Amino acid sequence: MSGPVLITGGAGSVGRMLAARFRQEGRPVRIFDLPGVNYAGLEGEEGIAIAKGDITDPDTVRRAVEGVEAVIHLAALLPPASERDRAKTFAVNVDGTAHIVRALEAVAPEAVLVFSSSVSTYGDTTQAAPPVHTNFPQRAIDLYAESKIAAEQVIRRSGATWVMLRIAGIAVPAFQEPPAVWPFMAEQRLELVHRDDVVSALHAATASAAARGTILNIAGGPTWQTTGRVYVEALYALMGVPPEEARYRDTPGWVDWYDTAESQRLLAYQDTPYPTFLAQIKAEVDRLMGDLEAE
Amino acid sequence: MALTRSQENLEATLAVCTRVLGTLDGAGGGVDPAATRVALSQMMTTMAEIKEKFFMKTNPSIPPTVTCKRAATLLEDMANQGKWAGFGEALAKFQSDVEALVQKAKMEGTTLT
Repeated sequence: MSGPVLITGGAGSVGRMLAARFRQEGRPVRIFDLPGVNYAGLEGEEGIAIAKGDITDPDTVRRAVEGVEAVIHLAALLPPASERDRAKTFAVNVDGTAHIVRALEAVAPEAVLVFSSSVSTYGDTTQAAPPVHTNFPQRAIDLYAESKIAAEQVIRRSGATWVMLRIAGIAVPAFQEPPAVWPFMAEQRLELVHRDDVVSALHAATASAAARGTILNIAGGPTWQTTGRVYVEALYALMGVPPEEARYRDTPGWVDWYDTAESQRLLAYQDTPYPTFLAQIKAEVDRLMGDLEAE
Repeated sequence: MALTRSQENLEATLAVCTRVLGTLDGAGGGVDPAATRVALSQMMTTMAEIKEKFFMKTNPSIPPTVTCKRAATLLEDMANQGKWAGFGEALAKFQSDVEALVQKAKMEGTTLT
């Protein structure tokens, strides 16, 4: 494949990394995102076309889809914004997906759609034996997951060629403020996935003929399988924050350990083990501490 | 819970600012006491607002708070010694240091799908 790839929500960090990956291969990229977002570093770059618009507008979406060979559909309202306004969340996450599907059917029927879904769609899995397989019943515990389940159904009922990636919580190797309350219980099973590996999975999914028509869990793999408390306390230790500062949910969140054997077999994306992520965070903390002179 | 080193630095910086405010009536060398008072007060409000941010509990917050404390102490030294000629430049440096600290304190949230 060498034709254009459309990345919806493409001005975000994952979209930008994907764009760079495709450009390294000489493949043209079309970035679709809201007019008001920051396009610095994308606009005017060779091989990158910008399609500014709103995913809830079917005409704009149709124009963006014309002539593409693949669509990576990242655009969505994410938590916590997704939990504030049901109508808006469904308009973006479900209707927006429907607009992509209709446009593909109409103007790019040969293109493959890679859909960024979520492991949140499984809901509370704490009473089941791990790992969570893709055939586990979907039971949303928040609006975001509900909208992703509905969007998956739109795609499955369509005539589009698709790959569905249910992506775990993404660990970003940067010094970031954690949520006020971690979205899991302290002793809950937790498996995140490194951002770079998510990019690799999405990228590989556009090219894998064997992945078409499949639903795949995307998570970090065995080295990332831990518990909420162990994960958080390791991060806090690197930052010098006392562990008692951490606040956890008192009811189960939608995290667990996942069966990723099939996704790894098809997409070969798990390149960043958990210790590497911790080393990256430590390097970032060391860099930030580098300015400290003797007081 | 006990204050972190950064929170201590911030409190010390605020105390220095309060003392500097008390010296401004005698300012000379082109320093506008009213405008300086407003600028310092705004910075003090901003610093007080970020004191409980998560960033202030982390080790990487120590360097920028040390920088702010030093810049504020320099201001106080200049005011106490009547060196008003360089005060404006030192105030601008302090403002820049506080802005850098505030920017770092606004860490982006964790991404979860």
